[in-house]
Amino acid sequence: MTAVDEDADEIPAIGVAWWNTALSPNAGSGRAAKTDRTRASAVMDELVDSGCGVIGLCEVSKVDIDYFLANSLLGSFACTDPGSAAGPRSNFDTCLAYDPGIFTLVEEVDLTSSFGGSRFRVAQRFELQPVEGGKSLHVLLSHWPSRLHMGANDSRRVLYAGQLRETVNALLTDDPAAQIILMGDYNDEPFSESMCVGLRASRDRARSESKADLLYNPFWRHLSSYRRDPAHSCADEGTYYYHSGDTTRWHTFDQMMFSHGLLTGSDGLVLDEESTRAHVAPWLEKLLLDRNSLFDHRPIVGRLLRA
Amino acid sequence: MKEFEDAFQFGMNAARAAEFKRREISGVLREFSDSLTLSTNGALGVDLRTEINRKSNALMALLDPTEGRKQWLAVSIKEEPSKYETVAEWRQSAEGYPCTVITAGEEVACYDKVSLQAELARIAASPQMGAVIMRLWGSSEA
Repeated sequence: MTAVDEDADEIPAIGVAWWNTALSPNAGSGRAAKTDRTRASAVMDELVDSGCGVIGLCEVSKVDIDYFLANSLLGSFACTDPGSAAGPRSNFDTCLAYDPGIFTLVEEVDLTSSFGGSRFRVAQRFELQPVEGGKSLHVLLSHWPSRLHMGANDSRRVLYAGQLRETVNALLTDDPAAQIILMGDYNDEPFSESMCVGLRASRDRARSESKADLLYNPFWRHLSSYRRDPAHSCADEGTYYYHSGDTTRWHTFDQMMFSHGLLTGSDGLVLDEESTRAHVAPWLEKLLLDRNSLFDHRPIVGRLLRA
Repeated sequence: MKEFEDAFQFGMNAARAAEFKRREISGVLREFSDSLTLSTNGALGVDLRTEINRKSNALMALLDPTEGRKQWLAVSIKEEPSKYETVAEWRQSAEGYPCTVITAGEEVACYDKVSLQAELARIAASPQMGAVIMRLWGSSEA
C-alpha cells in the first residue's frame, strides 16, 4: 500500500517527494559505493512508507535505480530511465518513480535550452493519469547547474526559468485548472530572480489562490535556522548543506511549487501544506554534516489530499 | 518629455532588433530548405505550416486569431505544395528568439542562430525525418 489511507474516516492522500541523492551526478555511475546505495535505499523505504506515491530522484544512474528496485520498497514502483542525453556532455540525471497502482505515465518530455550551440537541461515533464480516473497530474523535475559552473547572477538562470514557465503556460492554456507540480534542485533560492520573476513562484498562498497564473512555493519557510522550541525540528534552515559556505552552509535549493488548480482543489487534488516540508531522518542528518559522506541534500516531501 | 522620447526610441530599437532576428531565423529556415532541395534533386523543401486544432474554443478563436493554431516544420513536395508531412512543432517568440522545436519526447528552445542551426541539423539527421523524406520523395517520383 503506498497511498496514504490510514483510517477509513481520513481523507486519502498522495505523497510526493523529491530527493537529490548525490549518488551519480550527470547520471554517470562510479561515484557511489554499495554502502551509499544501501543508505539511499533506506531513504526510499522511509519515503514510500510515509505514503509517497510519486518520487522525483536526482543525480541517479540506471545502476542506482536498478539497485533501489531490487533492494527497497521502491521495488513496487515504476521508474523512468535516467541518463537521456541533454547535450554532448550533459545528461538528464533525474527520473520519476511512481506507484503504478495510482498512476499511469502517459507522456514524458525532455526540455532543453540551447545557447551558442550548447544545450542545457531545463526539466523533464511527465504526465501522470490517475488509474481510477480524473485529471492528470503534471510533474516537472529540474536539476539546474551548480553555482560553481553557472554563477548565481548568470542571466541564463532566468532564461531557464522562462522556458520552464512557458511550459507551465502551455499547460495552463490547455486547462487553466491544470494540476501541476514543479520540483527540483534549482541551485537557486526561493527568493532568486529565476524563481520569483522567471517562474512567477510566490511565497503568498492567498495571493496564489487569487491569481491563477502564480505558482505557490511553500519552501520559503525553509530559510531560517531559528527553532521555536527544542521539539521543533522541521529542518527550517534549508535543504542542502555545503560545508564551505561563506555566509551560510544551508541553502534552500530543493523546492516544490504548485499550480493554482492544486491550491483550490477544484478538480480533484489539493495541497496539504502542513505535510509539505523537508523530510528529516536523524541518521541522514548526521551524514549531511559529515565531510566524508557524499550525501548533502535532504529529501523534501509534499502531500496532496483528494478534494 | 525626455522620458517619453527615450521610451519611444527604446521601443523602435526593440522592434528593429526583433525584425533583424526574425529575418535571421527566416534565413536559417530557407538555408535548411535549400539544402533538402539540393539533396533530393529539387523534389522536396521545408516550410512552416499552420494547422488549426478543431477542438479549440470557437469563441476564443474569434477573440484571438492564434487560438488553437499550431505551427509545424513540414517537408513538402515542391511541385505539389499541398502534399506535406510535419516533422516538428514550431513555436517562435514575438522577439524572434527563442524558437522552440518540439519533437516526440523532446522540446528544445534555441536562443540564437548557432543553436537553431544545430537543432535543425539534429532533426535532419534523425531517422524520423529520414523516413518522411523517403516517403515524400518516393511519392513525388511516382
